[in-house]
This record gives sequence, structure tokens and C-alpha cells, in this order.
Amino acid sequence: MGEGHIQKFVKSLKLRLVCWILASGLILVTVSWALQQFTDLDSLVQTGIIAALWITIAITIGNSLGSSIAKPTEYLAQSILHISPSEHLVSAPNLDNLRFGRELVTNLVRQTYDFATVAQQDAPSNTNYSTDIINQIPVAILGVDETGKITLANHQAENRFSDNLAIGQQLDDTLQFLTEDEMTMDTWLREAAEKSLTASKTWQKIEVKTRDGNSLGYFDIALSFNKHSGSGIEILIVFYDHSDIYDEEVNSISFVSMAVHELRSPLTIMRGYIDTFEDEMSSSLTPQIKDDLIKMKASAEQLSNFVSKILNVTRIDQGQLYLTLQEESWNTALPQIIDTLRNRATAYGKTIELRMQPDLPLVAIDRTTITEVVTNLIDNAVKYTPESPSTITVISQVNKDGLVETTVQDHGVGITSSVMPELFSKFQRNHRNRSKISGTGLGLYVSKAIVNAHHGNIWASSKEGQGSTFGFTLLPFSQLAKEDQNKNNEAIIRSSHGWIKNHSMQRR
Amino acid sequence: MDQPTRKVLCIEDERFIGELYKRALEKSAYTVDIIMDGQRGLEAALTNEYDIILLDIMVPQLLGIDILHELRTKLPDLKAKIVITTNLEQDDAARAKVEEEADGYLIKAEVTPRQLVEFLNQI
Repeated sequence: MGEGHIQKFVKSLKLRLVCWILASGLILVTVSWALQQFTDLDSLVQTGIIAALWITIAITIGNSLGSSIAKPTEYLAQSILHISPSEHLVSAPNLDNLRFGRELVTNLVRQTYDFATVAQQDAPSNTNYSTDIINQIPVAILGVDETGKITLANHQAENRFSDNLAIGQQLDDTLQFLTEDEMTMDTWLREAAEKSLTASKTWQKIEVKTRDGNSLGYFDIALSFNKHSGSGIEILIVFYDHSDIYDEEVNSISFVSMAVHELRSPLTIMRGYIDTFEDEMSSSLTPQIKDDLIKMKASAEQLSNFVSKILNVTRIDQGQLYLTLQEESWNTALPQIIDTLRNRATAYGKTIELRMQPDLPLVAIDRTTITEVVTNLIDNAVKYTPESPSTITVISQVNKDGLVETTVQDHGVGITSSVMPELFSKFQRNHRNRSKISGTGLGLYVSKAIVNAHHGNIWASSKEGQGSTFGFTLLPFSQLAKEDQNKNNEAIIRSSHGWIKNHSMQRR
Repeated sequence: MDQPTRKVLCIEDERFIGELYKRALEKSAYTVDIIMDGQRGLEAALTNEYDIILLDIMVPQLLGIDILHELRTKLPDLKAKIVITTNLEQDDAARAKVEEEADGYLIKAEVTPRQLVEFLNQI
């Protein structure tokens, strides 16, 4: 069909119009003449009759011509709407009812449908196109709908997690996501759903485990939330597999743990025999030998503490130092800790004086690690007080903020002011004392991490040549429990980098 | 009045450590059997009656954790107190799991023989 058909249609339409107008004119003239010739009607009446006839003819012409022009347009519009994907209620035009311009309109409608069919065949499927792209992305991707069901898993996800998930399963029932981040995925999703239409966040070093607890590796994860996504996927999870990097970190801890185990065995034997000699032979030992035994014992304890310190430093650096804070009496715990250190102090000619405020509030402590803090501070006091005899004073009381504050004061060499800002950094040692006083510079670093994990503060004040005071605070257990909404006063687990979170990702 | 003698089974593969513990405990009215591999240790625990079982984790043939689990499973009414003695630094989750089933958990390098005796006297 070409332009000729359209010209033919237009010409035909014009001819129709001309014929109707001529016919109507002829009718009017004939009726007018007949009225004049064959009737005696008043001229006004005759005019009225002619006018009525003219109106009738005009309406008839209007309807007929209007229909001739409008109908083709109507059918064309109907056919276009019928093939439009957004218009589902418009039916196909019935061209049998069309009389004028049928050939043209039929051809136009047919061409419209042909064009639509070709266009549909040529256009790629949107769904297939997206899936192809997602399957080519070299990281695992999961899509989850608003009910928590997995609705999308790309090839990488299927390969990586194949035995542990399937489309249609609840993500919550298949995988768990362990993070040390303050903000868990669970919490973040809940907040995103309440406050946002779209949101995204990333986490580093998430351990993905099956529900049975089998580790599937370590990932950095990007999470995207879209409340009204047209695809039905409300949550998109992208997994960047860094198991090789993070496993290495975990393995380094394992190596250190094994090394610590190997070091501890001979230490156990050394300390055991020293203790046995003390116990069995004290009555027959000369004072000199007894004194020597005390020094051996102190050295063995020091070595034991150092071995623990190595492990703790590694764990702190990897964010793997976990504490269990339990409600304890500091009035009981601190004297017990100090008692274990008296021998060591005595070996170096120092005495420890302990002054405690009675009825201190119960505190939240991890006994093992807080013992290490006190031990480190006492060890430093002993180490940096060359003169003997000398007294190390330990004071514990409630401070003005209601916290249990413990200080360790010595009258030793003191610390130069230039060193103070970095005092609690790893391997930091006063250079002036480095050649005279042994040490690794790890004790305060470890102590700070432990005290911080206890929700406390640690500080130092010193005057060179006059001595130093180190102090730390502990939170009353009731205050810590209240802050963390742990109303049952159960043990609280903290990491050296903050709270440990161990939640599944999916909100409920 | 003499206290009744308490019987101790010490499952420990480090000979010197076992001897140190035996020496200290026998001075305090304990009798001590030392077994140096886990499988024989488990058999002894299942066969004989002990008041206390000192259980090292890293023993050959059968790990202490497995021995602990076997004892709790096969002898749910076991009266003996089971104390884990180890120099292994476990992560908190693993340690907590062990402590659930044990009556005590001691790091050997941090406890002298006399301190061990004091601890056992209290449990």
C-alpha cells in the first residue's frame, strides 16, 4: 500500500462531500419550487419548511460524512491500542462494519499489526538480558524477596553455596552471617525497611556459615535494599570472596596458638618443679637458695605471662580477643590477684600495699584478662623502680563518676613527657630506659585493649625521676547491663573491638 | 579424723607433668592413676570408679574433648568431677562448649601443682 491509496481515499472523501452538498442543494431548490408552484402556503411557512428541510439534510450529511472520516481514525486508534502492552482491555477493530475507505483502513491496520509483530520478535527479552548479565558477574549474588525467600542465585552463588541453598528456600533457614560490626545485617535491614525505600551498605570480613555451623568462608558483602523493585527482589546480596585473605589471618592465630601451646608445656614443668622444691625442700634450703627459688619462680611466671601476651596481641590485632564479662566482687578479686604477684615483687625487693574502699559495687569483669592488666601494671611498677626496697601502692575506690577506679603507683624512674602520648601503643618503650630495663612494649598495649573492652578507661600520669601512676576504671555490672539492655545480668560477651554480633541476616 | 582418700585419674601424655601432679596430689591424701593415651584413659574411666578425672585435651589416640563427650554420653550419672587441664588456647566458643560439660577448666602453665591441689580440694 502506498501514498496512492491515501490520495484515492482523500479524493473519494472530497467527491462524497461535493455530491452531498450538490444533492442537498438540488433537493432544497426543487422543494422550494414545488411549494411555490403547487401550494398556496404563506411565504413565511414556505421558508420555515425549507429551513426545516435544510436542517434535516445538514444533520444527515454531517452524520454520514463525519462517520466516513471518523470511523477509519477510530479503527486505526483501536488497532494501535490493542497491540500496546499497557492497554489490555481494548479489543481488535472489526473492519467488517466499515464501508467507506475499507481498503485503506484494512491495509493500515494490517500494517500496524505486522509492524508490532516484527518489533516484538526483534526486541530482546528484558528478563533474559538481565539474567545473562548477572550470571556473567564473577561474584556470588543472591536475591531475596520481601518474605525472605531466595528468588535469585547467579551461577557463582550456585557454585559457591550449591549444597546449602535453593531457590524458594528461606535465606534464614540456610545461611548465617557472622560479623563483628556493631551494625548487623539484621538490624540494618530492619531500619532500612522502616525508614527507607532504597538503601545499601557493605560489611567486611563476614563469615558465612551453614545453619549447622560449617564455615563457607569469609566475604566482604554488599547489601542493597529496594522496597518496591519491580523485579520482586527486595534484597540483593553481593558476596566478594576473600576467604584466602581472611583465612590467612585466622591461620596466623592458629599458628600462634600452637606455638603458645608448645611453649607452655616446658613452662608448666619448670613452674611445677620450682613449686615442688619450694614445698618439699623449704626446711632444708639455705636462705640464699630459697631466695634463688623465688627468683626462678618469678621468672617462670613472667615467661608464662609473656606467652599469654603474645597470643593476646595477635588476637587483639585480628579482632579475635573475646571477653566474657561476669558480675564479680572487686573487693574479692583484686586482693586475690595481688596475692599472686607478691612473690614476684618480693623477688625484686618490692612490696605491694593494697588499699581498698570497702563495699565497692560489683563489677563486670573477665577475670583472666583483667588479671593480666593488673599484672602488667604491677610488673611495670616493679621493673621501672630500680631501687629497693620500695613500695608499690595499689588503691581502689569509687570515683566521682561512680566508676570503680584502681591505681598502681610506684616511685621509680618515671616517664618522659615526650613518650606519654604513645605510651599505650605497641612496642612503645621509653628510649632512655631501653638499654637498662628489659621489656617488649606490649604490656600497656594489651592492657588498654582489655580495659577498653571492659568499657573502662586506662591512663597514666608521671613525673620523670619521681615515679608513675597508672589507673583504670571498671564499670559496675548493673550499669553495664542496663546500658546494654541485658536485664537478666547474664554474662556479656565483648570483643576487643566492641560487641560481638552473631545474628542471621534476615529480619523476622 | 582422716579424710577418705579420693581417687584421681590423670589422663596426661606429658610424663613430667603427670608425675608432678601425682607427687603433689599423693601428699594430700589422693591416690592417682596416670594414663598417657586417650583411648586407654577412656576405658579406665568407664571401667573404674574415680572421684576426679584430670583430662588433658591434646592426648594421643583420643582427644580429651571426645573423651569428655563419651563419658557424659555413656555415663550420664557419673559422679566423678571432670577437670580439663590444658595448655591449648581455645577460642571462647570452643572453650565455652567444653566448660559446659566439664566441672573445671585449668590452663596448666598458669597453675602450679599446689594450686591444682587447692582447686581439687574445693570441688
